[in-house]
Amino acid sequence: MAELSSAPRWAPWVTLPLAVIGLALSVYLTVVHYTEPTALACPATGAIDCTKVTTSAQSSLFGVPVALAGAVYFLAMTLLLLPASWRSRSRPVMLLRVGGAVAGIGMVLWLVYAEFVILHAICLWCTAVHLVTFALFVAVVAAVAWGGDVADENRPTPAMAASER
Amino acid sequence: MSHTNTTRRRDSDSARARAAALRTDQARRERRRRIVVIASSIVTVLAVVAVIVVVGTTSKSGSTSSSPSTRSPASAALVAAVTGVPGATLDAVGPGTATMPKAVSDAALTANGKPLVLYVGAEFCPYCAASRWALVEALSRFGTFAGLQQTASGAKDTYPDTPTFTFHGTTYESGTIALVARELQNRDGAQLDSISSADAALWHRYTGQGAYPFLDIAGKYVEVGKTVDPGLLSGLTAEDIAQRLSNPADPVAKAIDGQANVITAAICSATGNAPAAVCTAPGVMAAARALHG
Repeated sequence: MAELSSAPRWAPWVTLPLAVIGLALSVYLTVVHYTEPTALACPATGAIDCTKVTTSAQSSLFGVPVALAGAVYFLAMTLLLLPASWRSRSRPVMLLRVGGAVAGIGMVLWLVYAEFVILHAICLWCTAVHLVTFALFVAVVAAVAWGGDVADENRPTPAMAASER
Repeated sequence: MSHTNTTRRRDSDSARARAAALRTDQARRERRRRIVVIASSIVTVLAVVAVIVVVGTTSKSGSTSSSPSTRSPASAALVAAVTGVPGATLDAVGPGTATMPKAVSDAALTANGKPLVLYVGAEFCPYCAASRWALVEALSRFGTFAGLQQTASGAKDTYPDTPTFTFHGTTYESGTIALVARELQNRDGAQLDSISSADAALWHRYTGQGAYPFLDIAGKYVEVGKTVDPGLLSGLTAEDIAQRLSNPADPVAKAIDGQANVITAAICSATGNAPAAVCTAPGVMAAARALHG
């Protein structure tokens, strides 16, 4: 199995809290989805309408509530972002981590499209999850970019080797 | 010999210095690469989001500016069908599938010495669209509307284009009750009617930042949000809906006639069961029993 360089020390301490916050928000939205009575009303606040968003056709993906899918996603990311996972130099783990971050931001872009273009309404709770997912994406990309550079910095180049002969 | 050693030392120092310079240069290049990777990721995502937001907001405003006002005078036949549902039908339906209003113990809401019914809604709102059928039917038992107009709920909202009436520009006369009915936003969401500060305070008290529809029956009963399911009216014209009101087995009748009976019973509790012909009708009394639990 190919091994990678170690991740920067800040990686788990920045990414893990983000994943946990995302998990908490998703769990809340999942509970609301299944338990809150649908006392439906039109808000006078215009576009901000959580009920409209969370009860829309776009709130389910292949029959699975998006909130529940988000909770599962953040649970998986939490495991991938534990300090022990970051210490692992396994390439498949890294690929899952990066792939998860990219998949997460892809889902956010679809949901933002659904809110603005299809529903013309936004849900503040969902927006909070989107922001956390975006921050997580940036942090994972930064950590991966950083970690590769640490190895490259320490590896002598042919020019260095030639100059030291 | 010593000259050779000195030369070797000089050469070695020079090589180490060159290596250090190369490492510094490489570190700088790597830092730049990191920044490019991170920045390009952020910029790409933000750019896509910005495009989505612009497309979303311009498409909504575009549809707003091109959609004509769909308010038109309600035909006499339509009004007659809604306000003239046979008594036998109303009695058979009773409370039907109505949503019960919430009993409250507020100070009596009155105007000109009469119990006041306060309605706050919006023309774009599909839940208001559905509930107005029952309101028009119920209020017509206590008084007469003039200038009632037809419209439809917002085209871009849930349950789009639900046929309904609007209370904007309508007058209502009754010897028994007073009515304040305000449509605060039009079909496109633009501001429409104004509301007094006292009515606004009452509305916000029960709806927080404001939600439609809101109905306060003389400080005794309150309704917020959906009562009649607008989904029942999907695909129907106003004439279709009016026609179904006379069939007690029709789900539309059970919802709208039932809600009208419940609203009537609530109003009767504020009027001391006046007028008697309305408040003692079997359908209204059945609704009253359901209302009082």
